[in-house]
Amino acid sequence: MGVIANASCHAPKAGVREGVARTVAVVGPPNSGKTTLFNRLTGLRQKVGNFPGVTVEHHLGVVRDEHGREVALVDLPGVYSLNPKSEDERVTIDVLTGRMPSMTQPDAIVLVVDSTNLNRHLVLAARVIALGLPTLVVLNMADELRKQGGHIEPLELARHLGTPVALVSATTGEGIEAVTRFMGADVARPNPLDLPVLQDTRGCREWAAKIGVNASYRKPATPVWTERLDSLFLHKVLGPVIFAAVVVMVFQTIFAVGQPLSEMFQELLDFTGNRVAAWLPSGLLESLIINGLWNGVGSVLVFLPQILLLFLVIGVLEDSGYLARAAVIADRTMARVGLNGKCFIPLLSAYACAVPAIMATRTIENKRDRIATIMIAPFMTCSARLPVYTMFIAAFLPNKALLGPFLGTRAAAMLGLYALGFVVAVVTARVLKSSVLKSKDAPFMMEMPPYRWPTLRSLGLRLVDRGKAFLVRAGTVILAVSVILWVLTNFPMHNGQPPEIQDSLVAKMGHLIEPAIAPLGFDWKIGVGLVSSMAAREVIIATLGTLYGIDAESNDIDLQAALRQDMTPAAALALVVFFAFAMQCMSTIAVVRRETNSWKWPALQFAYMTGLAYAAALVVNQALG
Amino acid sequence: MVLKMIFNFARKSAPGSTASLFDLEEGRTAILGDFDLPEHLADQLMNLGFVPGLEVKVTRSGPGGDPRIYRVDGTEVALRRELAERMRVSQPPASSGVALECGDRMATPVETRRYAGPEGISALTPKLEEAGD
Repeated sequence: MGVIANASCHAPKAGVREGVARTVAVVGPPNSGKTTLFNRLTGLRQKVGNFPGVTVEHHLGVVRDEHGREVALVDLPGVYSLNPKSEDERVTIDVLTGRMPSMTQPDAIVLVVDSTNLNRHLVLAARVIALGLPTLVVLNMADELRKQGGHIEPLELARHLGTPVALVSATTGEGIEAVTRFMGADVARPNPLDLPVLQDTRGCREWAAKIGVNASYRKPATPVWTERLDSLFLHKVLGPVIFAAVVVMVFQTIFAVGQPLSEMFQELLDFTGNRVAAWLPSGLLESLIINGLWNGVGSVLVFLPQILLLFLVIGVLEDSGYLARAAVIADRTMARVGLNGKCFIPLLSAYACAVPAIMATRTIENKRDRIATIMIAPFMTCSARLPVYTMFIAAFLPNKALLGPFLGTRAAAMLGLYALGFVVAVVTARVLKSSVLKSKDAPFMMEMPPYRWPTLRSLGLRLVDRGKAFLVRAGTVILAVSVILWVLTNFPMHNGQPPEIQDSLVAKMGHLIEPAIAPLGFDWKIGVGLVSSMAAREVIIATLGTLYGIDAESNDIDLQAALRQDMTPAAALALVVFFAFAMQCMSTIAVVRRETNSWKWPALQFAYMTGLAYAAALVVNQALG
Repeated sequence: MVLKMIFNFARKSAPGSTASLFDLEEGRTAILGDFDLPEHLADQLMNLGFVPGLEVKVTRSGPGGDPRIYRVDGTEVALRRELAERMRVSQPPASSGVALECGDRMATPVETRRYAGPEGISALTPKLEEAGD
């Protein structure tokens, strides 16, 4: 703080983008409608970026000012203050003072505050204005201020703050031209009447109150609907009931709607793949395109329906304000594991698939809780584990009634595997939260935003944004690994023909890891299955089918018999336990890398989960074998 | 459990001692006092609106009474017991009854003679305001 920008330095700077006249940073507290304003200004002309070395994400957009010149707009994380102790706030300070290595110092700041909550939000204004960059103070939510009987004199406020002030509604677009005009204008540096001592938050708050009074600020009444809805959603009895209904709905959306959609998508991709294959001359190229690239693209795209659906549901929950209430209801339960209420819905989604679940953790503001949630999400029994569990249970466990007609041995085994994943996730969370991810520096505190109607525009932009982020950042990694797996199964060539699977590189890897997995009761064939199931867990079934020369899809009874020949029951149990724990999924690894912006967490997670899986399988096989 | 209840009771009834925010019953209002918390946490709380001297009201609570939602400085914020227990409150003066809005209470007239408005601002703002209407 207190680093004043050198305004006389007018040497041309490298902009965020070539040919961009100026760079403007958008700053504001959470719930100020900052992102809505950014989206309103940039629309689809934006992209996501990460600052080096931190999990903080920013959006970059290009806007035309009133003279038609391009201005780069940077959306910074929502901050209440500029305190270098918090990662978000440190990033904001670094960008605004030009100390962020990947970015030039912005030429101007657009500070977005909620006009219905002005006194509290002006505290940030004191800190931002003190930086000395040309600043526009945007009083957002002007429509709500007016509707609820509030009042403000923008001119008076501008005089006291020493900056231009615009009364705007980012949701309706009212007054938005003022922001565009500011971005093109050469505005002087702020010249406030007085500023408080910035280190003294109470002093800042008193200063804000004083400024508010001088600008004839009248705070609007609390919206009646927020009170009414809260008395329903946070009702002692009804609240938890509604919460349970919402949770079931979220789960059903991704499980009952998303999964069939993904399967339809997969069939469509297979169909088009076969069509294209018919056009291509058969041979290596055809195999590379169809089995390598097209399958790789397929394994990326099948996640898309689930990701988009989950983000649609979460978008509605978050934008409407319900997500914060749901977090309050789930908080006590989650606190027992050391997490907070906001971790509940992402973890629940992980039962369908860890990939959208990990992307959904971005609703968790607390960084440590978010990482902990990402670390335990892959332990939840995802849908890709089900075919593996089903086949091995069917092959090795005769179905007997345990509780009359209600529960058979096979169903019990399946439930046991679900419970196993859950217990390990809970234990892992507790261990992480009491050691490396201890959050004594940031206990749970959360603002309750008023209820609002979600807008189609903001929901749509969110879907595009998340879809793009997944395809570009995680998709490329998944595609690359798919091609590598194709190479492993198709080389070395014999007379220009791909080898039988038992002569391929992947089989060599299976043989190579056989000594390591022998204590678990696995032979090289299972080893090949483990390597190939990195593409997706259920792939092990098709691989084993190929190795045994049995079509796994049409003839799973034969495959089960073949497995019984080769494996002891103890080894089979060891295998399902291995699958319960191992991070046997490159898509998850890619998405963790993308969400944490480093290889550190996915590497740690992979090592931990694989180590745990190995140890558990070893114990099972040695104890029972 | 029983011990804890007795403890709470004892604290509440002890004459002269100030209660914590967590001792405040749902629907009740009090004035925020000091925080028995590290500086950065106190700062975070103040940024969320928990400024000592302001009125705070317990509006609702989650299942089992934790976390609770407090209305302070125009917003509602959920806090867990671990924090609320370390924030002291005092009863509002019996006569006033209703909360004093922070803005009213802290207001003092600003000295206007120090104002020397930069031309850029006074030139731009009226235009901005037109646009805003």
